[in-house]
This record gives sequence, C-alpha cells and structure tokens, in this order.
Amino acid sequence: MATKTTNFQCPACTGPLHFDSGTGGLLCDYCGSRYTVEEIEAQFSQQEKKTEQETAQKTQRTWETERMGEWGPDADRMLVYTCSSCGAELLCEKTTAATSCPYCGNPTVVPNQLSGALKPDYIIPFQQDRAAAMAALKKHYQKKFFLPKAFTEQNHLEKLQGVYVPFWLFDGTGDADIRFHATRSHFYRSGNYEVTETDHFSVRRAGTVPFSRVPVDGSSKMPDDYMDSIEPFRYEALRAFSMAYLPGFLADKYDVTAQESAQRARQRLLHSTKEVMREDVRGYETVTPTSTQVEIVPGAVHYALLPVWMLTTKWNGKTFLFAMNGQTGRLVGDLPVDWRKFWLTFGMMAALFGVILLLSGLPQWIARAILTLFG
Amino acid sequence: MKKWTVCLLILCLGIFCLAPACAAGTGEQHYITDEAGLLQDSQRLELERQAKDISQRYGCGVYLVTVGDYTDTAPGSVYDCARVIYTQKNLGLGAEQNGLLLLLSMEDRDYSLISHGTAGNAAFTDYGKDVLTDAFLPALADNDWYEGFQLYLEQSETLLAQAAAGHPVDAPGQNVGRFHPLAILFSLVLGSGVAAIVCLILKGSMKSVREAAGASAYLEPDGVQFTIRQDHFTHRTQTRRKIETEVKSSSSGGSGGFSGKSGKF
Repeated sequence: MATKTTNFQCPACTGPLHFDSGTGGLLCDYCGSRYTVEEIEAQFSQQEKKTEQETAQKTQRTWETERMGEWGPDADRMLVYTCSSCGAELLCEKTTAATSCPYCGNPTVVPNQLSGALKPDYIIPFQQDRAAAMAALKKHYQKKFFLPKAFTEQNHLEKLQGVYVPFWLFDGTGDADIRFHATRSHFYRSGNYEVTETDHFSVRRAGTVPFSRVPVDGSSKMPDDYMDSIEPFRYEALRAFSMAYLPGFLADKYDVTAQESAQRARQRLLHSTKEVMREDVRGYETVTPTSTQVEIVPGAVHYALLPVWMLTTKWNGKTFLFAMNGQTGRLVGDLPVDWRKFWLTFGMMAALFGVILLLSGLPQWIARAILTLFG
Repeated sequence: MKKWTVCLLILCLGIFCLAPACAAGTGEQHYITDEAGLLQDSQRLELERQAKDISQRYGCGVYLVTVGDYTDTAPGSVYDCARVIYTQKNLGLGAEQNGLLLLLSMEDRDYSLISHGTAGNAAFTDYGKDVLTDAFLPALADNDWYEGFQLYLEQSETLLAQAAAGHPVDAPGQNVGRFHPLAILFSLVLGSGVAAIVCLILKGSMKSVREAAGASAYLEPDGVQFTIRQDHFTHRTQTRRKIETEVKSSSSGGSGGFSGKSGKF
C-alpha cells in the first residue's frame, strides 16, 4: 500500500508551502501568503484527523490489492508513496522523511518516518538559504592558489539540496583521575659552569567534565568527516520538532542507531576530558601523563534533525562534495590540486630561495663547517 | 768642555734607547719569560734553547710569557695585554716582526695566543691555533707546565714546517668559496626545504574536511568540577655544563696585523 504523505497546502489557494529560512515561517509559492509554524501545525492537525476518518471508512469498503512483496527483496529498503498534489506513485528509500515530487515539484513529508518512537526531539530550522550556499561555495574557491583555474571556470553545480540530517545528541560526563610528571627548570652560572636545576613534581588532577549534546550523525549516507567539519551548531536555536519546518528540504530518518553512534561520541568525550585535565596543569615546562583513568558516564541521548546544505559539483568526470552548516553557514569540502602548478611553483620557489640563500653565504658556512668536522 | 759632556750624555742616552731595538733585530731577545715562576731554571733554559732554535730556523719567533696577573701589565682583556706585551717587548722576527706569543696569566688562569706578521699569520691560522691549543691546554689544565710548554713548542714547529712546505694547516673548508659545488648543493637543498614548507601550507588550505577528535565546543559552561588538585614537589636534579670562554679575535692591519684567541685553561 502506498504510504500516506503530508503536503502542507496553502489555506488560501491550496498551493504547496515551503519553509522560508529567512523569516522562519512557511511561504506559498503561488499566492505569496505567509504563515507561522504554529498556524500551519494547527491546520495540519485538523486536516489529519479528517483524513484518518475518511481512510477508515474507505478501508472497510475496499480490498487491499497493493503488496510490498511484489517489489522483491528491495522492498525492505524502499517505500512507495503517492504525491498528494499530482497523484503520482513514487518510490523512495525508507529513510527518506521529506522530499519533493519529481513530476510536480511538490514538497512532501512522509509522516510515518518521523512519528511515534522515531519522532525527533529537536530540530534546528534552516537559517541559510540556497543563495547563501551558492555564495559560500564561490567564497570557498577564493584565495586557493593551487585550485585549477579550469575548475572554477568549467565545473558546474550538479546538485544543491538542503537536507535535515538526523543527529544523535549525546549528554555525558567525563570522570577523570590523571597523574602527571611535571618539571620546571632554572639556570644559573657558577664559576665556569652553567648549572641547570630541574625541579620534579608529581601532579594529580581528578574531577568531572560534563558535556552537553555532542552531535554524531545518525545517517550512514552522510560522511562522518563532513558532518564533523561543519560543526559546531548553536543550540540556542533548537526548537521542539515540528514537521512544519520540513517542506522544501530533504529529510532523512536515522539508519545508524544511538547505540552504534555512541562509540564515536565516547571517543570525543574521552579526548576532550583528557585535554581539560591537562590544560589545568599550568606553570611547568614539561608535563607528561604517567597514569590515566577516564570513564565516560553516559547521560541522555536526544534525536535531532540539523540543517545541512549538500552541494555536489562535477569536474573532469569526478564528483566533488561540499557541505554547509544550514545554521551557521560554515562550508567545507576538499578541493582538487593543480599538480602541474604545484610542482612549477615548488621549482621556482626552490630556485629563488636557493639563490637568496647562496648569496647570503649560509650554505658556504655550512659547507665549511661540515668539511672542517669531517674533512 | 761642557759642550763635549752634553754630547756624550746624549750619545749614551741614544745608545740606551736604541739597544732593545738592535737586540730585537739581531735576535738577542728572550723567547721564554717566566714572571709567574712556573719553571725551574733548567727547564726555562731548555725551553729557551728550543724556542730560539725553532724561531731562527723558520724566521718566525715563538714566544712564551707567563705573568701573575695580566691586568698589572695592561688594562683590557688578556688578548689586549698579549698585544701590548708583543709590541712593548718588540717581539717578532724580520721586518714584519713575524711571530707567535702564548701569554699565561695565573690569577684567573687566562691565556691568549696571538700571531703577528704575514708569515706568522699564514703559518698560525685560526684553525692552526685551535690545533695548537688542543695540543697543550690539557697539560696546562693539569698544572703540568713544562710538558705543556714543550707541547706548545713542538706543535708550533710542526705548523711552521707545514707552512714552510707551502701547506699551512688550515680548516679543510677554508677554501670553500661562495659558489663551491657543496655550497650550491646546500643552497638547493635548503631552498627546496623552504619551498616545500610554503607549498605544503598552501596545499593544506585545499583540505577542509577532517574528522573531529574532541568535543570541547560542547563543554557545559562552568561545569568542570575538580575534586583533586595536587602538585607535589618530589626531587631536584642538577646538570652542569662547562662554559667555553674561548674568544677568537683579530685586529686589522691586513695580513700582517695581530690575530689570535684567548680563553681559560
């Protein structure tokens, strides 16, 4: 059976509504009407009740003829849904929570994906729009000396998509007890001798280091290093989850469980707990840990959808992926290197520095010293 | 009669003043002057004989002067004092007064080794002086004066002999010019190193994707609680390093001026 979808329609003209990151409300593309999230949520709630009653009546009268099994083994990871705007029957991955119809462009939310036990606790609405993402990408290309000129000229944007990425937000406390060996030296002259006195200390630091909402992405489709690199998110903009924020963007539900993600969060907490303890050992010249005991006390786990713009460009048959934090605008993505330019620059610089050094007499002095020592 | 007396007096004074200069010119001078009293008479005479022999053979005076405190002779450094003594005593052989002087000042165990004249400086190069001091300083450090001075004379003779043969002892790298192949090679290696650092920094800006290691951005503000903060002093260690006080100096005057070094023994 096709999955029921939600289409946020304009109460004025029934046109599709999009979440507008600029105003933080919903905007009708057709009549230009604007609504707050709360207004649309109330309307959607009423409409949903009505639809459920109608569906119940229909179910009593008709036979179920559509079976997922007909799709074979792929049915386990596929989802069929009907576009509530144009009626097209569409396929998407089971993790897709919000998308748009390829026929009519109608933004659609698949409610079952984000309801009940799967409902996210929080969401950070998009604060950066498509134009900001494009501008950030252009800026990302600037001042990159080894970026191939043809890359900026010839590459074209394959895809630009705002995605609500599922994240697990881990609360936890690092409980640490670390011992260090620290030294502090001072020098003085005694006759013809320079004396170095080194004081040795046994230093111990123990305590608790609480962390709040450490994000780990719960989508296997999203590269972990990209999601880490666009951090941090500013949690003061966290909102209680509402589907009204989703129209106009893709949204995925998690396919990596909180348990599976916990290991990454634990590693990050361990690392930072040790850092906090080490940074408190001040006033020494050397500090070496001699014994380290750190335990991570797990806290609450929250499920949140966080806004990310994913940008894909293609150049020389190769795909380049960029990700932008949909809240802060921080954009990351590795760029190709013009190796011809790299080696040419290296050669020219080596020759230039070589001549400058040669004229400075430093290599002559080194040659003399080496010949004196080993000659 | 009175006129004749005055003339005789002037003549005597002139002879008195010119006598040291004539003595220097004819080689009638002391090569070993032991004011500090480090040597027995027999030892001093033997060293004097050796020094005179070496000096006359190579036309370059090899001198040794010991004093109680060099500051009683001349103000400034021990190197300055050596220059004063060399000049006052009119040391050196030949028109350029070629020679080598080792001055020991016992008060603070200072020494200075200076050479003078074109031939003197050519035979006793900076590197040659290093070779020389390496030979005799250990014996002087052990207060083995006679053996130290003998080593000084023997090594000086060796250096003079090599200079006379046309191969003065000099640092192996002394002839390395600015465009010596080895210098060019080092320029390329160092230049490549600097270029590599600059290029790798520029290349590093092309990569912006990295996995996060920590979570410091998510620390709860003012949430860190320390239950134990202990800093205990355990012990103290001491290392001593001898300060090399050796100072190399040279004075202008072309290749014929003074050049030398000084230090402690």
